[in-house]
Amino acid sequence: MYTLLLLLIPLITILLILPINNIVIIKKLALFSSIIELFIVLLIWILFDYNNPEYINTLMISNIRLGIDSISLIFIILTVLIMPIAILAGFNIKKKIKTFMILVLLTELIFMLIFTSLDILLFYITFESSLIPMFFLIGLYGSDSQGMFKGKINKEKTRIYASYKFFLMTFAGSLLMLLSIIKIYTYYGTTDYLLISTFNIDNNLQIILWLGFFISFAIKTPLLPVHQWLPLAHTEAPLTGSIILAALMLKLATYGFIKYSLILFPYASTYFLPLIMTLCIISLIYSSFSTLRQIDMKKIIAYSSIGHMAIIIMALFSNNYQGITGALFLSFAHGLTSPALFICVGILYNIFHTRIILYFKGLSIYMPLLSSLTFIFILANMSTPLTSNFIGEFISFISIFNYHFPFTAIIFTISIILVPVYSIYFYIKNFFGSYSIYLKSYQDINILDFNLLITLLGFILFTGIFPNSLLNILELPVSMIIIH
Amino acid sequence: MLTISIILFIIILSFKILKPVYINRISILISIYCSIILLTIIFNTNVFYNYGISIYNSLGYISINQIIGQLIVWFTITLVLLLGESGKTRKNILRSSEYTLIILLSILGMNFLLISNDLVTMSLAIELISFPLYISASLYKNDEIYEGLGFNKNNLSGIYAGLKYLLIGSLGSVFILLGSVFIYGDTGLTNITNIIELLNIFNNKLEIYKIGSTLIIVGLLLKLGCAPFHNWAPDVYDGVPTIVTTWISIVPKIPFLIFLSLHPLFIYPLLSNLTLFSSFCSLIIGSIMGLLIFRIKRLLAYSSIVHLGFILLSISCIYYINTFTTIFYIVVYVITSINIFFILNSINLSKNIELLSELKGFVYNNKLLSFSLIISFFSLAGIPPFLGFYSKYFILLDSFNLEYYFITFISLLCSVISCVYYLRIIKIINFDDNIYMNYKSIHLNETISIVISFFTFLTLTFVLNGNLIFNLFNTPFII
Repeated sequence: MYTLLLLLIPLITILLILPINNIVIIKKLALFSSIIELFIVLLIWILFDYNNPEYINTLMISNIRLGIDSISLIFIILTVLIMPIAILAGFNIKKKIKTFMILVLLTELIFMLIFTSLDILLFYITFESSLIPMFFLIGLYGSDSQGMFKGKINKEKTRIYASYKFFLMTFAGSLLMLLSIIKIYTYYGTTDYLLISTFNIDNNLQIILWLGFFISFAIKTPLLPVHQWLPLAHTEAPLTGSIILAALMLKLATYGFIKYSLILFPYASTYFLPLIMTLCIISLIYSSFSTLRQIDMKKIIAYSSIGHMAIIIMALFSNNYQGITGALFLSFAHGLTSPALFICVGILYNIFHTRIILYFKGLSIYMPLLSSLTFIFILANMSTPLTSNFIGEFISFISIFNYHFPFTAIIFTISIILVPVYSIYFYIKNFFGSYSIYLKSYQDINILDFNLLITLLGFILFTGIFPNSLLNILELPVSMIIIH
Repeated sequence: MLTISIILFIIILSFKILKPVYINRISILISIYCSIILLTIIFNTNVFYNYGISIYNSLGYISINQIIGQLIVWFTITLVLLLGESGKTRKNILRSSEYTLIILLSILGMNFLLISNDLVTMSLAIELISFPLYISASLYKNDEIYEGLGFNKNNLSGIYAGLKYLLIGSLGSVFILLGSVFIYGDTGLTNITNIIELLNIFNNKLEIYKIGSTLIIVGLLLKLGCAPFHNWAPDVYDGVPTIVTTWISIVPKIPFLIFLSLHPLFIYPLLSNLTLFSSFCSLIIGSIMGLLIFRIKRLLAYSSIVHLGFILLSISCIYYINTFTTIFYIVVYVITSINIFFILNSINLSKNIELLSELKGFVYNNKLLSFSLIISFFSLAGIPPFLGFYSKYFILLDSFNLEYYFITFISLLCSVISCVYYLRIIKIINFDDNIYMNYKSIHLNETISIVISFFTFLTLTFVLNGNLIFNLFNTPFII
């Protein structure tokens, strides 16, 4: 019942929006529907039975089963929290507002389908189709950044290059997942997730299948050799696109790793542990250092999210209770923090029409409100206590220390130093000192942006101070995975 | 019965009593009538269930698969004839009854080819298909009168294309004929069923027969425009008017492909490597060459080569699986490309387009039309929620079942590469600036808009309940 509602509300809103031409009504309808969706999910969250490992709210649509369990509930909560913020962030878009809202609602619908699907093929189909609205969001509403294309500044070509790169890299990766799915289907004759998860797949077969899934999820994460699409897509996407990319698109990889790689192929997940460790260490160190050299603010946040995702994946494959819980919690926390930072950058861009940090200095003189809010989010990004990132990273590090103690754990500890280095550098460069001579505007943030940031801050602090609200949900299913 | 009705109709036509427009309408009605008859045969008869019957003194053979092939051909032809009815096109293309007459003649050949079970019938039917095609390619000279058909303005491209088509096509026919002669010389038989029985007795040890069937398949591939023999196809499809491209690039492929898939023993077990090789070449060449192209019909020709590669891959698997995959892929391909050509033709009514860049900002002119164009291109690219994905999925499933890992991997790679040029078209339609501001917006004929919207709807919503359609086709395909 609830699942059906979750799917129907965005769909009905899209159909309602189609004939309307009044911009204000379109905006209000989209926002209204996403908030209703939020309330429904909150209801599911409240009514959720922590001691029930089964899938709840199952639904059959033409032989395909949909359902919600604790792990997918976390991601659904994240989706519905982010969606109203993403819609609000798009309110000051000038052109084609109707198409914009339809694309965002379509994204919401697709994410709901991804997180509720209990069929591998349906998962693949929705996983792929999430590319289409994102492709249009980047291509149609992409920012007029100072992007460089083959050494020259060309706004349009950079934008389109980014959308191509995003689409083609993820498409190529997920085709390998399709191969694995086809192999599963030819081997077992079913694509039903619940049925397949009861099988003990042969070890040699597991290794091949796992690789197919891993490559597509690694591109989505993104781990290092295949990370190039993320900074480009982030810089070229509009604010809404960046929020959806950072908060939800990257979390698809976490969800996929837990639901598919870990549960279906447990042997291969331990077999390939050295590979994952190497990739995660390289991406963590590389992204942290390259963040220091970036001059585009959005690229700084993009590279920092690569680093955070590396910690998440590392904790996920450390194969114990704390690891998986920490990874889930950290991905939830990162899904709240990085949109907040993107909104801060978006506000600066809207006021000054540039994101190059060389132009910025002494913003705190005229923008006390924004600078204090940004400071809190920067603190959250480097996971100081009281924020949700701290809880997630703490649990993750416990697991990493438990499982791979001497070498990997010590290298990972470096990130505790590296992340504050670039975060503090980023903050000092922009906000402290005398006021920059390049900046001509003297206003602080408006009420809309303030509300957005305050909402996110509220969620970050709430989950940071009362982490048990989420950890309770996770307790049973994670231990089920460990036993499995 | 079908063929008789066509022959009668052609005789009536030759009297030239009626106006060309009415002739076109009558032929539309007749093709709809034929489609309905075939549908009733498919759904109401269990006689042909698992085996067919020989007809015309065993020159022909009919089973449920042949009837499905004929249904697809008639269905497509109805749509192609409907295209002639639209607005300005009607005035120009139907100045004489030749166009309709030529199409009907070719249809006669297609029906004969589908039911033929004899090398002589096969060769004759192939000739009967091909000659009307050569004529229709060069039918419309570049007159100023023929507006709105999609012409190159400054050269005699239609004549050039027709001549090229004739020369290459007759080369293919010669190959087929030579192959038949080799087979006849080796076995002394022309009936395909008898030949297969003989092969089983001799345990596939007839060397000259192998050469003969290789030649026949090479001829068929040449006529189809598959990769090692593909060079004529982009030239011909680009050179002729768009409305003729619709007809010669989609319809003649159907009977050849279904004929290949219905006589798998013709290929198997000797020559499956030939079709696999051709499929490999088609995939690679179609996807990579298409990246360089800036003319829209040429691009569609290269994309059709990629799709031919996929169909040939599934034909190579057919001996072990069943014909469902191939026929489903063909139907999906026909639906999507007919949709694209319908839209291109209706754009041609207001402005003649040849280059991809002439579609710039088309979304500002007509939102719904550009929406269905985008959906069709995504479907051709095989992006998941659309219809085109499912057809590709089944083919990959088959080839994976037979453990053709290498070619499966290549086909995935090529679908990524070919995705680049589909995305380029979508980019041109959506993201680029508007150059359509100055042109008047397009007004569609009712019939055409119904067809376009129906196909777009089908492409979009197949994901919701594909079983509805599969269940229709399930019964005929059980082996």
